Amino acid sequence: MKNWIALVPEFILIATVGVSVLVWMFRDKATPKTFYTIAKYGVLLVLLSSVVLYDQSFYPKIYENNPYTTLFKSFIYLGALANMSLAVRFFLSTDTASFRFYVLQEISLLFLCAAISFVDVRWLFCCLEVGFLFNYHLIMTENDEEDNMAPAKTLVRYSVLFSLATLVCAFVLSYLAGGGDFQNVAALLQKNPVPFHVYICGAFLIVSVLFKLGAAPFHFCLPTILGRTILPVSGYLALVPVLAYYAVLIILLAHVVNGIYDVLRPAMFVFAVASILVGAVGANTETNLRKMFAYVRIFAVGVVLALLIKFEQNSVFSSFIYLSVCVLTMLGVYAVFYGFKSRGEYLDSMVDVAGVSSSKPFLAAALLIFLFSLLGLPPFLGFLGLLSVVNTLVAQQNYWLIFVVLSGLVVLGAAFLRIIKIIYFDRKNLHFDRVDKGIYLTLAINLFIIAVLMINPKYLMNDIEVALWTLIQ
Amino acid sequence: MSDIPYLLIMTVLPLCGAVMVLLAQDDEKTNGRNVISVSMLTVWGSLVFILLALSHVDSSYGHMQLLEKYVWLENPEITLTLGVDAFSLLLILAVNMAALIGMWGGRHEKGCQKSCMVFALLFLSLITGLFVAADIMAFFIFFAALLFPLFMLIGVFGEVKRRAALFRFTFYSFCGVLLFFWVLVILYNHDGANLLISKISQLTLSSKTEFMVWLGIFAALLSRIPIWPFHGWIAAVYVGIKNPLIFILANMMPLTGIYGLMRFVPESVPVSMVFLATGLEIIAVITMLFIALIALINVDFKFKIFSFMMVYYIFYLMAAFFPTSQFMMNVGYSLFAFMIIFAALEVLVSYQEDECEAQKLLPEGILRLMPRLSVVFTFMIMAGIGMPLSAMFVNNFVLISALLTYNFWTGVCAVSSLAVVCVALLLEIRRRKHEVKFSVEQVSAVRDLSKKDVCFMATMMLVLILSLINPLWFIRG
Repeated sequence: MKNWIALVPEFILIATVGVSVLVWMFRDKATPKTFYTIAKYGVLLVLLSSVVLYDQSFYPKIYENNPYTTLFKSFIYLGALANMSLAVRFFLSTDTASFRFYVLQEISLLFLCAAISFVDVRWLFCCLEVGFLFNYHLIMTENDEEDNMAPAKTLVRYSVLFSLATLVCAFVLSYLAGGGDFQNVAALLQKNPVPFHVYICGAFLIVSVLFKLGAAPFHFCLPTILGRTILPVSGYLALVPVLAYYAVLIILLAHVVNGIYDVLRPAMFVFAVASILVGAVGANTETNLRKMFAYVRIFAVGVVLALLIKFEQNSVFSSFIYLSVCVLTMLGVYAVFYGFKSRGEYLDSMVDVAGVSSSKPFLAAALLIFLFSLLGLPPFLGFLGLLSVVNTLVAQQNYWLIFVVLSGLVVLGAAFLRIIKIIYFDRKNLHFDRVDKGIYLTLAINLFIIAVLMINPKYLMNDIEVALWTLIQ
Repeated sequence: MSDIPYLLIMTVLPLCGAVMVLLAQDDEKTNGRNVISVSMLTVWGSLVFILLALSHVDSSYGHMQLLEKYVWLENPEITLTLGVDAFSLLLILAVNMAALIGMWGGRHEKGCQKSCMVFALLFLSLITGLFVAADIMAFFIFFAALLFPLFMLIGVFGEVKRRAALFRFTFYSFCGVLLFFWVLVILYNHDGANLLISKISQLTLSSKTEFMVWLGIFAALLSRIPIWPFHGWIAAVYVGIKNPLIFILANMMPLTGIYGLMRFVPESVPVSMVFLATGLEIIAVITMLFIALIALINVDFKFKIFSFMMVYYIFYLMAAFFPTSQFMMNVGYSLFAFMIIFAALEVLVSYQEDECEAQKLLPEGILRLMPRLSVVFTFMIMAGIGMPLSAMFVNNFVLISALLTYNFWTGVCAVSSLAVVCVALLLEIRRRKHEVKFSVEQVSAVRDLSKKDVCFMATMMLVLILSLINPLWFIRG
């Protein structure tokens, strides 16, 4: 029985794209604010309808909504909304067209969120791959320099290869299982013994998601792309899709590849450790702030994978807490980046932001708080994330992984000290522009959320846990 | 027993003060007066609550009283427990009084801006939290959180020139925090609950785990104390601080490490950590002698004060390894007087240095031009070297006797170090009282302490004398 009501959020998103296109075509004086307003109200409506229809399913064997999918969709929409509100300041101050960015972001959201709800591997990966390939167009937004196009082209080449291979695997598994829904594919992967080609196909689905997450060694293009794209795109790619890919990874591990996961575990260990090391060391080698935080994101992905090596309730819960805290903190970091501006140019080099604390003390202090939080120091929110991670790893008796995570944090600490030194103690090289009040407002909201969650972590640590249990059970 | 959550109020009050300071008007007209008034009022308020809390506790060591429990997390289950004994309350009182002296002394400093005071009060709130933490999680949270305001105070407002040392110091402190965190999680998972600090030594751990846990605790807490191998950069950072308030607050950091060791290290040292304790004792004695000798030859008075602090801190640290806790309250009383003396000395030295700089004078004979300051300064130095002017006199005597009884050669080395650092201070006072001919302009230009300053310092001197007469005068029973 098809329940079309369940697709209302998706229809609203499509309608938002349609309205944006119509305005772009027929309205003469469409400013960046116009497209932002359309996108903002569209995504807000989508968020609202997703929450209201949290348990409505379109067709139970293909497209299902439940508290778990709604939780992730809500986070994704909220992250996208925050990024959109920051992005409009960029487009207004640089006087560039925003139509392409907002429309592509809406399309990307449509595919990413749809992928979370599909319970059929074919549909899931079709959405995921299309959504991922759309990133190429996002990367190219207002970005026509030859130097900047090269990494995007490399990424798209690998992405197409991965997408094709993943789709082949998904369809082969569906064909062999007699259907693409999770139950059939999981039953196929639980047969004893699992045929080698089936095992390879199942493993490749996971590898494909790891590629999208940017786990090492698939991270090769990520720092360059996040460093070279325009700030709104960089912010979106750094913060939003990672939540969708993570949600899909958990769904696959819980419902699809659980039969072969014991064999995949050593590979997951390698990906996790490699990501932690690459993230921590890479951050120390960078002088571009956005690239540096791309490595921090790789580090965070590594920690998440480290937790998922032993897939159980606590590891899902801890990895989710850690990822949420990281995304929230990184959102704050990106809000600070929007404040780093000199003569209309957004700054991303460490040398350029030298001495920023003298003229923008609140911006510098906010960045300092976010850095301390990312290192997991109390009394900042990051401590909750780290506590959850290490607690789970100790319970799993994974002492070596704790050692790797803590060592990684020490190395990351050295990179952050470099930033602190530059923003606080080096001589100012540039005159910094006035910071938009909206950026201070975003920072204040972010810090307020961090403070509330730290004082009363119940909202993060207990209430969300209930939603996550629906997946595992 | 009282139902008033004294400990929470004591911890949160400076934080509220920080918010009030943030909201206080601060422009050219007020010239920072509002900020300093709100800050000092906050500390006075804290002192009232500390004294009230003291009236509700008995004078024993290690018996946690006024216990308060706050459920912080349900999964993992973490309930934070606050509790104090007379020892921790004495330290909180001392820290607050030292901060008050620092604020008084630093109120005319240019660097004493609104943001500096906000971080100073934040630091005070967190260090109070550390002293009232009765369980390992609460202790860790405050232990780690102190790093943030300290870094801001030293790095941004401290005008430290040796920045490389500052970064090394921060980095190693951060490593210490992570080590402590590692220990915390191991202990939490071992027992399945947040442990009270006093219970840690009673845990039955495998020899490997016990070794890891104690090594982690030792290394983490020692990263805050300037003994080898951490002595170099800590000295470089602390001595370079110009603002007296920040100097005083920064020099409280080793106290957190020493307090931690006193609380964590049990009376009967576990077998696996005997060599750690012995090794630490040897290193501590060598560091003590080393710092004392440098103080003797160094001409910088700031370094002498730093050495005076560190030698005494290490002396108190040795008491943590006594095979009994009966001398801990002596450490508490002595530390109480010591903190006030050190803070007053720092403020007085800063005052002299500012005058020397303003009038382009050398420190030789400067005290001759400042008779009021000379009296207060001499009193503080005399009290600091252990003359019968404060609680340091009796209690240091008891501690030295105990040290000589339990380990004669360690005691001899410690006493020698104390003697050397005292000689260094006396030589400095002689230098500053040395007869030098000043011009009439110089005599009239140099400003002595104001009457207000003298009244303030006289109050502190009175507190010190009272602490000599009866160190327990404010404690019930």
